Amino acid sequence: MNRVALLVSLMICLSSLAACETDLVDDPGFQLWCGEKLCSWELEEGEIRKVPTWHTHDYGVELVGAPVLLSQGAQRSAPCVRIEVTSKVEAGAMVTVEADADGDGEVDWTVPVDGSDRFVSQVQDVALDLSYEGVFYLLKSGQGEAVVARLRVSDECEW
Amino acid sequence: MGIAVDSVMHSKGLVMVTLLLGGVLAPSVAVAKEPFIEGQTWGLEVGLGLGWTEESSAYTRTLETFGFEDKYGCCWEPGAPRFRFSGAVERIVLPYFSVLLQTNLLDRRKWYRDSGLGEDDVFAWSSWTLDVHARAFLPVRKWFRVYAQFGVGPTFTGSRLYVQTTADGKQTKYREVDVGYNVAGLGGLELTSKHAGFFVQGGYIYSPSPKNRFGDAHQSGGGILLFGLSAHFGRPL
Repeated sequence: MNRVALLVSLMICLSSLAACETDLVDDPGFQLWCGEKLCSWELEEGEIRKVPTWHTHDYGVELVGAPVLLSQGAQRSAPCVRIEVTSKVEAGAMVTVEADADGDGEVDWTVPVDGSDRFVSQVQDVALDLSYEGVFYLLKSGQGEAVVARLRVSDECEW
Repeated sequence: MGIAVDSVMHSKGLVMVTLLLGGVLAPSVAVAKEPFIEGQTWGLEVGLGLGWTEESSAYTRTLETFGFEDKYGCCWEPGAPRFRFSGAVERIVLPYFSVLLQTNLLDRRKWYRDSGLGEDDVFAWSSWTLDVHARAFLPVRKWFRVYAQFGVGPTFTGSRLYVQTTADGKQTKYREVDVGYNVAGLGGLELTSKHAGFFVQGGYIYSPSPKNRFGDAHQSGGGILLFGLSAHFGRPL
């Protein structure tokens, strides 16, 4: 009887954990640095730098020069995707968030990051059938200063 | 023309109110013949109370931009007054005048952010003042006085940021101290025996601290209302 109760408790616990988990990428705040590289994000092209933002120890990633391409595989599948970006991007730096929904090497949608001379946040929901093989990209293709403090990708869509 | 007439009427009204108040209050606020607390020169004050300050500021809006939220908890609503504390040492230097070294606890906040890495990021701060105040008081009786005081001094805001910055899964605590300034205008009344008493104090403190790296500040002061205990001792002037 005790074993059954334990099993039921474990199942409830696991199911509630799964229900609470909404993030689709690791380290949305670019906080984890392994030396000069981000631990959770892959630098595919260009140069990045760890920079302080509003607080000396709350970091962001500066995309230095152009082009710069960071990527990370999706943690799991999702029926839709919410993109939340906090950034300071000079006009002309042309920063975009992109996704390859099924990992076939083709970008399926692109969200441009707003230009601003101070940090601003933007939120966008995208209708997308994301597979667990999907890949998210942060791309900078123009010259100018671009610091991204947070790129949260979740399935907390409003539809 | 309409404005001028209106202004004159308003002035007359103020004069009438002042005369009326003067007539009613003058007998009761006459200066006591005996010196307040028999002329003792030292005092201690400890007060607890409530403070009203702005909920949203450039500082808190920046925190929101970076994903933080003020989680108010079960028993507190946005806009409700917050806890305040004060402590002071008073030295009476003239019959109706004293100087104080006073400290006030101003705003304390705790904000949270979903880190996406397990434990939430936490940012907490609390602001304290350390001011020199000049107090002018009127001893209505030798055991009762009303007063007004003005103070200036530094504000110290200690902050703690708990974030995970390494891949070992543990959060690191980063402490910082922001040093700003404050100005305070307070008034109160005190009812006391020779050595121990009770006071009520209220007023306003302007204290733009803490500030972040962008220069955004939070007004940690605001309106304040304190109830406290006082003690008096020392040789007469």
